Amino acid sequence: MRLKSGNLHPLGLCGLLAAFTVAVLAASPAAAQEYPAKDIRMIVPFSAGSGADAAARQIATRLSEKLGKPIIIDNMPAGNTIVGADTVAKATPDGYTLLFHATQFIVSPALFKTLPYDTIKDFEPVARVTSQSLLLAIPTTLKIDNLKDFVAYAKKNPGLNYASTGLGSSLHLAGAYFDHVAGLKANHIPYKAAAQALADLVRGDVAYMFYPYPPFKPHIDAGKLKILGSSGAEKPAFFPEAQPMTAFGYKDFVLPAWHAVYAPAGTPKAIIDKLDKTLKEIADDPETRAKMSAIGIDLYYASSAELKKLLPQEIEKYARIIEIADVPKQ
Amino acid sequence: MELLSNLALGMEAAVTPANLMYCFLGAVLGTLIGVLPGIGPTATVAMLLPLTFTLDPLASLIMLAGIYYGAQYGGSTTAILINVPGEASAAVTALDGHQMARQGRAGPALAIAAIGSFIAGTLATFLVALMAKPLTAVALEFGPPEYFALVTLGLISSVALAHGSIVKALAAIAIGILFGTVGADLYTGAPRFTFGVIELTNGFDFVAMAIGLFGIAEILRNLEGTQATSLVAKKISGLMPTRADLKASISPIFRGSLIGSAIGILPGGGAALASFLAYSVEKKLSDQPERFGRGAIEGVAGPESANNAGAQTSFIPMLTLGIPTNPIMALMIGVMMIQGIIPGPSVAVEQPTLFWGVIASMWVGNMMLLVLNLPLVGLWARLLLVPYSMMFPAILVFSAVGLYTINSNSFDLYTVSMFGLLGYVLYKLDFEPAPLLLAFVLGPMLEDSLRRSLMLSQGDPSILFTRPISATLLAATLLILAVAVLPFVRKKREVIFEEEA
Repeated sequence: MRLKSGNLHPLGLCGLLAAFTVAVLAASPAAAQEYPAKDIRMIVPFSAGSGADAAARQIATRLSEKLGKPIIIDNMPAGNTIVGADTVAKATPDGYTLLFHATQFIVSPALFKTLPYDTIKDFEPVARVTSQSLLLAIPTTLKIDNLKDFVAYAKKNPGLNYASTGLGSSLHLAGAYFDHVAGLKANHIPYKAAAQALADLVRGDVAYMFYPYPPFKPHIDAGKLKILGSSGAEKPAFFPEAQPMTAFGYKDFVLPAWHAVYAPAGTPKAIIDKLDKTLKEIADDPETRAKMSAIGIDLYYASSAELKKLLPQEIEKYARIIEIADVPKQ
Repeated sequence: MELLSNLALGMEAAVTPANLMYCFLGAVLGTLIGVLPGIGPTATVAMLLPLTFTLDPLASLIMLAGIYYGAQYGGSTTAILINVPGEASAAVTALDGHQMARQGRAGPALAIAAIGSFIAGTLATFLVALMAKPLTAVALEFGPPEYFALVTLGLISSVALAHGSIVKALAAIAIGILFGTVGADLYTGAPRFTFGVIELTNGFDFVAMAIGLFGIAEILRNLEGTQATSLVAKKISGLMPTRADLKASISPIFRGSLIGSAIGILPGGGAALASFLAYSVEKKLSDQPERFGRGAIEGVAGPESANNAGAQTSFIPMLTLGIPTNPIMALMIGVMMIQGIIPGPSVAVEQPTLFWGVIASMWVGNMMLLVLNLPLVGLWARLLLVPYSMMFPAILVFSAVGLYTINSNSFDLYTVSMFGLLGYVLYKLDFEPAPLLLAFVLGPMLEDSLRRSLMLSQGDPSILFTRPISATLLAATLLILAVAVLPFVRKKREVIFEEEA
């Protein structure tokens, strides 16, 4: 659908105007028809412009095309994603309120002393949709070009700094778990804005960082950063050079970030099945795959039933890592 | 002349009928959301994101950029007219701009904001074209110690924001810093002053605080006088700036453009800092600093130019490094990546049409905004004559609706009410809300950068003085302090000289 620059594209414009109208007008009253009969509200507990938001908007656009009803993205970043998740937990279980959440959903139970909702009981998993490998990058000023040498270097120089986007974030936990399995002693430095962390990494003020691929790319191309490995189970499609950590002998180091869709507990099975089936179609769609790959995310589908089994395992796994990383409960 | 040929290439791409239209669409939409307090450009850009999939990448970026700088224009309109700053950077514009409006000079204030923004936009366009590469290199040099030094400089100069008691200004700064500490501590996760309220773990929302302290407090003040029938006490005099206004504004516009351009490129989010700094500089340089806060046109011209220039130069690190200086730039990166373009040093080389097209479109867009906004000045200014009994409920509703749409968080509405009351109390006690707000923004940055610097150096404070940029900025801070104390010193010296004579 790429157009030559300079061509006026009537469809694009119509879409634009339609979107303004949709944004301005309230949803029209629902006719009692088969699901979905009206707009679906998808709560994304991250701010607009974040990585999870980008993934959610991609998936929601496809889902909306296939279901034939608009999906309204509602960014609710307040309270470390808790407010957004809680809103869904307490929403009417009719399939018109969905949650698009990232790894933080599984980390929260171990990170917070109290949660206003129960991660297992209050939600009906719909499907897992992505797997986002986090890449381990170091500045090229270190003059190291493989993981083995880096681990040796880090052992010789204890107290290296590694960056993340906050205490208990998936980036922090990947870094902390890496230190644990590789036997390193390093300092964790949390940042509010990833942009600053990245700048400090390129400059060499911090020695390494786990992060999604796209923000690294310009610096890899410019010869400023070197990728040593990936937290995913397999080589990521968007950057096959990144070997998974398991290839270096760190056997249980499989910690990709991932996104999934959830509904409030009690949502009718027929609705969950329909959403699950549609999400599977999206996960198999090569065009969506390419679009997601462009933002550094691989599509990875797991059904409602599989996700139901996976959730307690992942919660347990992250609880263990939080203990290893020695993150205080909040 | 590589620069000229580059700009010509960009211009060619930017002025095709379709791209002109997207530019216009973006600019108009941006102005609209800017005028509605609270509805930010971030939410708008995010909402329009899926639509850009079907557009040409250049057209997408042109339109989204238009929304971004259009919002800067629109945001200052509400700040001037009803003292409701829709954006952090417009909070400074409200200081003198709204005073001008109350004196019946809303027209000149709005016009100078538009003209200043246009000139700043033009200068910034050339600056981007000329210095994108070296400026990017400087931006990358800004690590935690450098931010610490920059913020110290900003806080020291912020005392200038106050007119009146220095002690009260310092008290307001202290309160602002304290409000800034609310939320989970970044380094330990310990909740600070949250009192178990989950919504407070991310701290107070800036926009809610600004609307409360300025807009809502203003309404409460106005309702105090039973006879308040409309906002303007005097007759509206002259819609366009006079020759004297223009003369007074021209230097602030140029200074503001430079300050804004420089700070806009920093990845730490500088738009608010740029306008605050520009204001301080103008006040420091003025012959009659006491006019500031009472309707000085320089106090509108400087910061308005700074925030527009900053908005434009914030594209530099985004386009050349893929480093977003704010959430909107992060969204733009998303747009480019979905189109298969990874922002980075190669964009200018491999996609010259896109790179220079976006830059040229900014200038075109600024021109459109000027043409669009100047005729509207009369309309906006007349809006002030609407009976206040109709005006204030409308302001309240728009503020509340706008605010809620940002985070879909009803807690923000409590925040705005609370800060509205606080703003009113502060007004009653003769405190200034502006230093409080600035300290609220800068306080956490100061703490973060100091703690992070010390973590990087493993506790060695010399990291703050041994890095060149940080050392220079700290030296500049000392210089400003010295200048502030100088009149004092000078007087003493005069006394000594007299004694000797």
